[in-house]
Amino acid sequence: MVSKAGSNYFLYVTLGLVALLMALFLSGCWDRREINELAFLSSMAVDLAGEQRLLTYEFVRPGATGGGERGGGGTLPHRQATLRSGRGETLISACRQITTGLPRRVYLAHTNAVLVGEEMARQGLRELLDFIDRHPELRRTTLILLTRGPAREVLIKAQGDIETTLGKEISGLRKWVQSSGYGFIPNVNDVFFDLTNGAGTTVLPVLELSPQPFPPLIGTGASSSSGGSLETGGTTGRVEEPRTVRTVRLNGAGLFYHDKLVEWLDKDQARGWAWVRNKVRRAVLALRCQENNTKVAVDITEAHAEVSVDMQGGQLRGKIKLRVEGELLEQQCNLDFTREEAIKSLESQMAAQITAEISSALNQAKMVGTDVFGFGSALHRQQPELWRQLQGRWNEEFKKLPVTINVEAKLRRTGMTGRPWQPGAR
Amino acid sequence: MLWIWHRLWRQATPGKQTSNEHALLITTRLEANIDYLKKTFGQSEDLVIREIELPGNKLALVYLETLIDRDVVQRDILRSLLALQAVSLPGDEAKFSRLIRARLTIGDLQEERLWSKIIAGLLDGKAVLIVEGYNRCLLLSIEGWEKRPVEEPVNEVSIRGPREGFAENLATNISLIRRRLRTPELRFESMNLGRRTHTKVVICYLEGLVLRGILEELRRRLQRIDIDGILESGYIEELIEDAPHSPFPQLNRTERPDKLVADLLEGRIAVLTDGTPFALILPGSLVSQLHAPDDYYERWPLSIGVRLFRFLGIFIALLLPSLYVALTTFHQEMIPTPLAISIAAQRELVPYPAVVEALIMQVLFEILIEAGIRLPRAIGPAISIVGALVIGEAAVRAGLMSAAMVIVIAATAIASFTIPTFGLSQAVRMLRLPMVFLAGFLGLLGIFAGLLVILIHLVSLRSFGEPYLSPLAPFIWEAQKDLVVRVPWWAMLWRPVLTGWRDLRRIKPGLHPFITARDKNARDELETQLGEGNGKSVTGRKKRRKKMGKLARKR
Repeated sequence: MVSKAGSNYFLYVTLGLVALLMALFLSGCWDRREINELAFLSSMAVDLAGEQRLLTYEFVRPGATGGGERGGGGTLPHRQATLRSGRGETLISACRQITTGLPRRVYLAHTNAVLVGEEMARQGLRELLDFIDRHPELRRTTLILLTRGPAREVLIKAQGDIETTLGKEISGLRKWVQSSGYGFIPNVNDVFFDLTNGAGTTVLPVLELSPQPFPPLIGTGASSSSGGSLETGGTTGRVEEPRTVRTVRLNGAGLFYHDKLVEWLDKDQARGWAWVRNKVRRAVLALRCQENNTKVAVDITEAHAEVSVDMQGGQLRGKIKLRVEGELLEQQCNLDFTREEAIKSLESQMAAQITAEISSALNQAKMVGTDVFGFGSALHRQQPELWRQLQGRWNEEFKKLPVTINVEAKLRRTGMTGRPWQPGAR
Repeated sequence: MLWIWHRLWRQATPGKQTSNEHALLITTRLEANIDYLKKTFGQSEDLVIREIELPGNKLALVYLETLIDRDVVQRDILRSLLALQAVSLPGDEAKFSRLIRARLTIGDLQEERLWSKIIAGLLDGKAVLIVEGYNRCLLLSIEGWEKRPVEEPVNEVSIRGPREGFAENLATNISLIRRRLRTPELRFESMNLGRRTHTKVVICYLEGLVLRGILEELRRRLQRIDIDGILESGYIEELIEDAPHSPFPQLNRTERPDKLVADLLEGRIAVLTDGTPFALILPGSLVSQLHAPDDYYERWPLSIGVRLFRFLGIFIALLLPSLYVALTTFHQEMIPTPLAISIAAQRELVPYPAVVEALIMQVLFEILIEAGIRLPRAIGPAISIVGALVIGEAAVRAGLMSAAMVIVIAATAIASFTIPTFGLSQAVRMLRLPMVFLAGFLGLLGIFAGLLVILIHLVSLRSFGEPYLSPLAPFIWEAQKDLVVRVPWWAMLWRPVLTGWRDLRRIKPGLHPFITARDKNARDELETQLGEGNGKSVTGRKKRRKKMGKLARKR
């Protein structure tokens, strides 16, 4: 049993193993790329430059982030990022142009955000969305924002305050900005979802530069002895001249009809739109107190809106129903808000201010006929036949759609105390 | 090359020696017998031949002084024999033998004529009493040699459970088992293996539970062994296992008598070998090697959690380095962004690819483990500190390794020690290296290919008829009670189906300590114990308690 069969068996197994090993080693590792040979893209800006596309990439410089020990005190935390830009007939050729000057492989899978310049947005997002969707590395969860003017301005000029890259900053913004009510950041998937809706409209937030003094307060950041890397260092005991840091912030939004930018919304209008689309997680309303020009601040803790369309006497009517709940957080006057009539008046003020914000946004949208509030899809759900008739000219229909806004505001709590505090009173 | 060696080896191995030399019988002449013994043992220092002259007779007491208890020789044999001087010895064989039996204060003695048996007895530590003129001799059991006392098992530590472990001495080990299983069903079958070592090997099983077929197969495989020496149970394991080329241990080993008894109670068979504290248990399976005795002694919800971590541990031990290599060299998009950037930053100064880094670390670590085992105990801590410092700290500082890789290897090392049996943990360690290779060349694809090969191998393995992945790969629903989940003892109703089907019921149903109304068996039991009237009163009491509960709630 040993001799013939056994020898053949071993021979075959050995040959097979050798063949397998050769297959392993000879083929090489064609798509092997060490993680430290990659240039991680953090964010990119897309602009038009005449006929050409202008791409600006912000890469993470990993060597700088990994160190851990950074200068302390009052030094300006600088970006740990590298900027490169390239231009080309198409987006991908612009991208490849960047690789001619980059010693590492461009790696797009960790891209946080895409900034779209105004010109590009007016021309249309289609090619950009197609590029993002088609590229194997780019994800649909990439955030997308708009800038007034060229996007590359923002990307290049923005200086870091806290985060090491602009992309990281934007993804941090996305998490927390909704608690102000003014901002929201959609990702590419959201945009696709919006644009494939019947109305074919979407809203993109606007990112803009906002110069801030640095150090923020004179006298706190002056300990240059610890940081030591400031140019003006060495004048011990003196407060340095505050400089300006260009940080970014969200301010307003752009209205898109199909994939083209048609109109801007300012900050309050953006919040007006956000109320209706349930994008507000928390918001602060500064309302009038009855007394001389003092204010009361109400923090909205819950907001829920419903959009519907109904037919009344052959006439389509839009309806926005919003229910908000708030909490009294600050009071400059002496009014006792544990009394019911005070609460009632405050609630009506809340409703009035929110209604004003919504109707301002609504008017702006109606002017250009972009139904970003979802009346179209409400109609689609409620009366599909009618929707099919109106679908083709819905932007015109929307322009003349009368809308009633019904805000139901409730003040639930007055913070941790009841009556306002007064000196001398118990 | 391997197969040439195989063939040569097989040809060179002679068949079983069946010489007639030892079939000789003892003669009546004392001188001749003593000469024969002297010739057989040569110039052995420890062979003692004590000749005793009695009035009508000449005797010789022969023993190997290193194997016997001298006190017994002095006290029980010589004294009794010298006392015989006063008695006139009968010439009759039978009477003489009876007289000696009556006078010697030795428990175990037997008559023997065959030289081979006599010599074997001498080597077992028996004394031989040869008498002039008689053609048989007496073998006196007076074994006594240095033994290690029963100590805590070194490699299988448990927090809760007996602290006794097997020792090298077979008799001690058998007594440890006997003390735990006081049933006449417990059987020990002994055989001598090894042409030169004559090592005693004992098969141990429970008569009412053991599966005949497995027992027969084990006997057959043991009897076929023809080797000159057996120094450890590992020799036997390699000679009787089903898949000799597999890295996975197919027989469970243990040095804990409680574990062995638990396996006997599941219908398995144990093989004890003289001279080693490690017993073999068969049929073995992969899953049972991931179970520790603590699991059964500790509270059951906790032991489920512990087992989950252990099962996780084996996967980490096998896959973590290869996953790290695959993700960092092929699938960077699968790493969360901050982690990816952090790893990239750490690797910035590392001069070689991640595979090479992993392999170097792996090899260093294996060397460290091996060194740790071989080190003299006194310098062990010093070396481990140096190892930890060099590998952990200095290598990262010097830019030879990335910190992430050190963490990965350390986590892998720790995880591999969660596997309770050393054999399996060795197998996993051995397979880790090729997995890293595959990951370095093919990424996740390679890892899954490797896993698939391992899985195919495991599924095709059998240990004495039991599939190696047994409650999993032929999926046995009944056995899931003791796989990852260990159900409480009152729910462990059945023995493992594959090995214990001769007497499946392990525990009486309804032993749940908290008796619910729905638990009919338990209630019946209670009623028969208390009598019928009392049974009713129990339900009455329950009703009353309910009412009181309602009242309390109202209040």
